[in-house]
Amino acid sequence: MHQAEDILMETGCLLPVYYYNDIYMMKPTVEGFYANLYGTKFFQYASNGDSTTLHLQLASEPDKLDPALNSSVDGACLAAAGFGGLYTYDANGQQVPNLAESYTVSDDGLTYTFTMKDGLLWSNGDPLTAKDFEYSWKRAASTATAADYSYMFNGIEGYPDNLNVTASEDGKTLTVVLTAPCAYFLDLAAFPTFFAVHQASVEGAEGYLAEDGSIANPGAWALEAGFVSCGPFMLTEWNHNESMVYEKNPNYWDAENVKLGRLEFMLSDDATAIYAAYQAGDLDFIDTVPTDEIQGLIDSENPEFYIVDNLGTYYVCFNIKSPLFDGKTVEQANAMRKAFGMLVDRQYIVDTVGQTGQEVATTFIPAGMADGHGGVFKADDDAYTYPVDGGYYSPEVDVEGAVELLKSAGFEFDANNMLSASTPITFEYLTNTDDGHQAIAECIQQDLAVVGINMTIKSIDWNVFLNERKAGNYDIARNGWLADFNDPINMLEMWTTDSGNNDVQFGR
Amino acid sequence: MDSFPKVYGLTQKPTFLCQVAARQSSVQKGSGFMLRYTVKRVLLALVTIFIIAAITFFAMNAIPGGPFEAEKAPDPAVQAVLEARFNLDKPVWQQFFLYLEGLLHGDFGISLKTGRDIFVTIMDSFSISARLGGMAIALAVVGGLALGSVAALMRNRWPDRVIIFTTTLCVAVPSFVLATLLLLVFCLRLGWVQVWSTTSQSYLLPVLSLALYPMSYITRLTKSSMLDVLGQDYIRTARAKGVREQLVIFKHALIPVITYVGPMTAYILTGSLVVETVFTIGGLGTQFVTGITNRDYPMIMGTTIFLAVLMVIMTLISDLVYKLVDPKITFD
Repeated sequence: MHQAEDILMETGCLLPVYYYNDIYMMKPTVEGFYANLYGTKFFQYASNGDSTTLHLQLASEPDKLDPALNSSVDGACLAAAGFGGLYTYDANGQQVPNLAESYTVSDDGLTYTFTMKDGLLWSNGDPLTAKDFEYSWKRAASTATAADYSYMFNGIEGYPDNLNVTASEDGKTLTVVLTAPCAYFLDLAAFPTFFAVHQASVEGAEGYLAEDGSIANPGAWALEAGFVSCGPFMLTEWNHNESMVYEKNPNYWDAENVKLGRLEFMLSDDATAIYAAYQAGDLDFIDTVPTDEIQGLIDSENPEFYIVDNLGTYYVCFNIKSPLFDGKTVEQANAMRKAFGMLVDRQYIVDTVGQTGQEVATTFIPAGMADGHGGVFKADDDAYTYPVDGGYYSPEVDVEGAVELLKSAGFEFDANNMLSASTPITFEYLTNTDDGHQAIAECIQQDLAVVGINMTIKSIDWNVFLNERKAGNYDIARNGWLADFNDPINMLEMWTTDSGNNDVQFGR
Repeated sequence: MDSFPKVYGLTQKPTFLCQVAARQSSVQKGSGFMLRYTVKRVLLALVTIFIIAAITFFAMNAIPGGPFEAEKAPDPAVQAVLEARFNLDKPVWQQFFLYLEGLLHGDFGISLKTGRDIFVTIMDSFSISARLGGMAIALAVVGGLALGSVAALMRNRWPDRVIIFTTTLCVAVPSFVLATLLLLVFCLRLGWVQVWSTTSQSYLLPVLSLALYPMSYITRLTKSSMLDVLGQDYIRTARAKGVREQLVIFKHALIPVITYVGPMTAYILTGSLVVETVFTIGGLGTQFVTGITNRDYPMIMGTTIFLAVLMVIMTLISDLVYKLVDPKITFD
């Protein structure tokens, strides 16, 4: 994996800026709440002082509540409240059994056998067995369903349409056969796309099938409150774009340890209104904090303000096919990109724009990511030593080094380390319209101007931006990746030639 | 949300709609002309709505970016299935006819983002917007006419000055500032109203936010048209004949207000993004804007057609009321 990251970073195509973190505010009465590294928040063991109701805000109206179709972070939190997988996370971020009791894995690491808990029930009283998981997994992976995250199943034999997942006749065990050993399979078993859904509800929903028998609306069953659930809570009321009420599910296997009776969600992303509601005491937990308030909250060491690490990286990507690199050899182009990366003052960006004490990123694979053998991947030791100060870039700006690299790429400089007019560098930075992204672009613009590089900034509408970046219609562009599971492969496999996320256009 | 501060404010109206409708105001006089006039207007309205639908359909397909773009790109096979599911793999003109075919069966399609039925979504959120908007319109019209009349009749005395100063302020302050200000004052400072709750959603502040601008506008309109009427010869004649002066003045002053209230009603009833965002209301205004940012084609079409229909109906009603108030006006 280190070797793969070395090859990736040697190109200089990924310019890491900082590792993501997550902020939220919570009243002192709230206890037992926790979040994991992927931003999923767990409320099933939370309590709120004397009250059995928790008022909270995560985001605005969720797109989809069917866990198999969800692809958003707030949707994952709602999936964790309303549904469940074979495994889940505890307060320490460790995978613990949820609907499964235990698992065994074959010696070759390819066959997982999960044993289900006894007496599991859906919220409507139907028995929940391994057969429900067999159905749910095959459904979520299938091309016909067309779930955004169906590719999460691609390590299972027979993906996408003949998944090798079998429930035993008595519904007690689930056997899964993989194509290659997978160190993070329990992470997958705890991922929303792998949660159980109720087959009769899914297939019985009005509008599920089109006239020609194809699937017209796979999530039709979960568009309004009252659908069948298997998690600690179930959705009982949904006023679209206003509020949602989840009530405790008495049929949840661990219901005796679920202390809250109700979760009341404010469906908003208006930071001013959310913060006002929190201050007025109408909310106990908020996931959206106004940017203007953050510095004050940090400075005053407000005990209700929390910062937690996330597993992800904010970075800038270069388009290798940009005219910027025309006429340069591979080595020269790599040198140019690395030089740009050496000029960026990451700490300044974190201090002035990020503002939540993010850790400066000097590698693409986030600090804290597991190595698949029980350790941390980013360990700079005898077994593996990073090229520069525990990463690929020094946290300090290195103008001299950058100028040397640019000289090696054929650019001329005057005595003051300013780029000569005879070899100008001009290119465009692409970002979506957003104050924060724009501010980061401006920081980078100033950093590059120190040696006379002329970078202009272009902000465009979100959908257009994604389209342009994916198609490679840019020189350099902002980018970000929040990991789906705790393994470096999640940050590496996206850079294969055919990957839909290969924004750099490697091999194209 | 910062990117769309006034997209749905009252200040930016596609006035061409009103103009199209206004130009249609020609019908021969005679018995039952009102009925014939109405029928003709309805037929013309159908043509208008078809043209609007066509323009919107082709325009939205011309904007770059699609509904299934995401930071984490889906599998190309998944993307292909999604496109086939919603006919997006077909040529745009063919998509348009498929859409029209659906419409004729009363099928507005489902949201590409959430999977919810478009018609149900629009009706649900419209019922909320209409309830809020109805109250706001009542407040704006009653308040505006009253204040405008007071200002006109007491011209240049202190009530007039106070009213004009206040209304100028309300017209000048953008709605997002006003809504946020109301929220901070009434919810945080005074603590009279909850910012948000699942049970007792208060309509006081959103109604005020919606009503203040049109109320101020109507106040100023009423005042100026009343002053205009007061100087007319026929008022002197009326006065000389002993007709109840106030009634004549009021009736004449109403005319410009009616022309304003028609389209305004359509706009207020269809919701305001700003007010809905600040007060967490699931109204129609939000659907318009999120529909566009999500490239949710059926949602864009549904909301646009809905607004067009409402606009045509409101313009027609206001034209008819206009005629009733002032028989002097002909439709020629």
